Amino acid sequence: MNCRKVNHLLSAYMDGELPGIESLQIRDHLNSCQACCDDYNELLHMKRLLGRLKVQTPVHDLPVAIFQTIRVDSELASHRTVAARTQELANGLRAAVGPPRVVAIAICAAGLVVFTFASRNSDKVHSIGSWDHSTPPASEFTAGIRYPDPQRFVSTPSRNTPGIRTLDEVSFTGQSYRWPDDRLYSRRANTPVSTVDYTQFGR
Amino acid sequence: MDIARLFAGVLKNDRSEFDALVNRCHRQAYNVAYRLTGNHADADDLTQETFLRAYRFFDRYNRSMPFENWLYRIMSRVFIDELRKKPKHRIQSIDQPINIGSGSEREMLLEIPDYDSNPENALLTDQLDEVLQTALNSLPEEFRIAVILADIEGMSYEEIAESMSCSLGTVRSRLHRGRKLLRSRLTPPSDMAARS
Repeated sequence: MNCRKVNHLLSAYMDGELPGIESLQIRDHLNSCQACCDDYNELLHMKRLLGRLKVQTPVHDLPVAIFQTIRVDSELASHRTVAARTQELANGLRAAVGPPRVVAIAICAAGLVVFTFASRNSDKVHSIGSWDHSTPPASEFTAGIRYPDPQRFVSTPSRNTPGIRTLDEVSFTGQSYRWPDDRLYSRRANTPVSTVDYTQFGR
Repeated sequence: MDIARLFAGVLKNDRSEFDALVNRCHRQAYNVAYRLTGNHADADDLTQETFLRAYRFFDRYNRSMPFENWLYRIMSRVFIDELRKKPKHRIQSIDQPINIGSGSEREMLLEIPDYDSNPENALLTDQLDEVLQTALNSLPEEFRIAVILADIEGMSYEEIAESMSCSLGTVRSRLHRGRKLLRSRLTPPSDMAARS
């Protein structure tokens, strides 16, 4: 074994990490070669110095700092998980329904349809009855306001105003009539009105 | 027992096991981190980041492997990946309080341990320590890790290979080249010229 090869293996020899044969060959070489022996001694000295370096200790309570770091990281991770799930949901929706612009347009269109239907329904005026004028009115006067005679109310039940036979069955609203056709109307189908301005029915 | 409770129990056991390992290994890990980085601030960061990653991946820890070896594997990766990006030196005044948590009461002064009651010996030891640490700092990261694990931690080549995720041949080569470089850094230039 020549010096060059020994030089390459000296480190492993020193650490006892060489197979028996190679180790013996190097030992023989070191016994006969002063230069390689000096190299070996220098390496050994350096290894011993490194092994004797003082042990550095943490300047503060390291486990406390480690556990705190772990706790903060776990909290952040849980926040990240929520954000990631939201993102996943959004991605899933995007994949299933389409791009956000299309979804927004669809929602707007649906809202418009619902609003139109609801407003049409609520604005619809339904007749719930009228006054019988075949006999002379027997209206009463209170503070100068003439009230219609409840006895003269003739209900005209329809699909939208079922069950109304007399004015006692009607809860009036201020917006629930139309003058001067003597008819009492409900603005909302199937919904009895709650208050009424009786002056509108004065004749 | 339902699955959720069983899982919670496993997690709790894992956590208590991990906490015990932190308490057992943190000093040793810190010493290696210090030798890798060369200063307390970076050693602190490296140790904390290493244990944090160990905690994150603790379910992957193979119990047949010594925890220290697994920890050094993580530390090697963190060291190579992250600390390379940081500035090499930090200046810390010895009078400046060190903040160890939130709030003003979590501050303490830097304690410099007295390793030797004999001032002359202490001075020599400190000087030698500084010279060796400076030489270690000058080594490429892979060589430095190999030398520290072999000569300071006294690990076998097999353990180092496990910790560095490389082959035995690579460990042998890194140690050979690392020690050669270290020797050249420690040897005065005149001696090196005479040798060549």
